[in-house]
Parts: sequence; structure tokens; C-alpha cells
Amino acid sequence: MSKLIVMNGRYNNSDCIRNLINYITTDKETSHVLTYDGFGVNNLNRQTMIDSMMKSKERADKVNGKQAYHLVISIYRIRNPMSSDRKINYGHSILYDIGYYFFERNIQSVLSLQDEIEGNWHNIHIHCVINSVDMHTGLKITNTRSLFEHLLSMLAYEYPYLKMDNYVTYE
Amino acid sequence: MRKDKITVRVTEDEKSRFKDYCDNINLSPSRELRQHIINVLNYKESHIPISNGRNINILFMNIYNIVNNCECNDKARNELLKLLNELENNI
Repeated sequence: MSKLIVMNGRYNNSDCIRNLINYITTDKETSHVLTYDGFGVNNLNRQTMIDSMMKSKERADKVNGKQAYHLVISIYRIRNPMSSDRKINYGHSILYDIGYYFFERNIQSVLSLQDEIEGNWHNIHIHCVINSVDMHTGLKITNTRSLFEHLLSMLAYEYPYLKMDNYVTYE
Repeated sequence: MRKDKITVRVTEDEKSRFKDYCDNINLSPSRELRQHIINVLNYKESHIPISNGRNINILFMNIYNIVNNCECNDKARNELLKLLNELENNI
């Protein structure tokens, strides 16, 4: 079963956008970044992605409070017969679907597809950092529960073979 | 007319670089992209409000979306993204 997990961190310090984007786009000991991309942000490099998000916050005068949301989409966390190559192919497609899901709702996002090696199998997952400000209104995004639930429904509809969990997980 | 408008509103350096980008970047919605960039440059120079209810954040979002997705050579795209980053940081 695949999951959409919303990380429960507070993410309200001024450096959190920088830290999160650096975190999700950097290789770690057991986790390898396969690709990353930004939507509604300057994709030149990591720093320009951070600049885009920070500047849009400043222009909207929303530099305080919650700065970002961090989501993780885990593709078949439990062992299953699907090969890791196939999961990676799904991952690429899901990454762009999620990016455009938020883009169409005037929300900037940066996503990365990662391959985490756990023993002798691969946990393919997507990290997603979204700006807490709606670019159209300049207000903080509200009703995030329904936003994420709708995203989950969209993924479940588009990718039935991945067997998305029925509920968004908060952890 | 558009080019004249650009020449009076940006520095010589920006003008020449911007012209190069527009010449090099071979993408179909170029008119939309140019208009977006002109709006940003106008906003930067004199804080002219942006028409059609668009705000500066939406404008940048749309610019980046077009530039990130256009089919052009990577060098031209990267140069344009560099300029846009400078512009965004100076507004």
C-alpha cells in the first residue's frame, strides 16, 4: 500500500524553507536523490528555488508563522512484487502530477524523488515541500486537510495499481 | 513597440541580455513570456501596477512555468533564469 504522509513539524522558523529544500535535494548515507524539480519557482539551482519561495513570501508579507508544509509520498512501503525500476517510473510521473496539482492552485512546490535502501530492498518515495502562501491571494493557505485529501483522491484515481491508502497520514 | 518599451525601462546591460534571450529562446508561447517579463520590468522600474488582476507573485510563477517547460537550449534557459533570479531578488 502506498501512503501520503504529512510531516507534523512546525516549520515556522525563518530558515525552514532553506533547510527543507536542502534536505530533500541532498543525497544522504542511505538515501539517493534520483531527481528533483520545482514548480512555480526558479529551477536554475537549489539556491534560486529557495530565493523564489522566500521572495514571494516577502512580497506577500508572510514571513512569520508557518513557512512550509512537508509531504512524503511513499510508493509501496511494504514489500511487494513491484520492481524498484517500475516504482521509480511511477515516481517520476507522480512527482510531476503533484507539482502541477499545487501549481494549478497557485502554490509553489519543490519535489524530489528518492531511493532509500533498506537492507536489500528499495523504498522509493517522494518528498514535497510546498510554500504556505497562496500566490494568487497572498494569504496563507487554509484548509490544508481537504487540500491534501483531494490530492490523495487524485493519486488514488490516477494510479489505482499503487493502492493508495484511504487516509492521509499525519506523523 | 514592445522592444522600444523595454529599451527605456531597463539598463543597457539588461537590455542586451534580454534581447539575446528572446532571440535564442525558441519557444512557442514567447509572446506571453515577453509580456510577462515586460510587466515585471515595468514593475521593477516604476512600480506600475500589473494589469488583468495579476500580482507580481503570480507573474513570476507563470514565467518560471513557461521557462522551465519550454523547448530551448539549456544555455539560453539558464541565462534567462539567472536574469530572472537577479530581477526577483532586486524587486
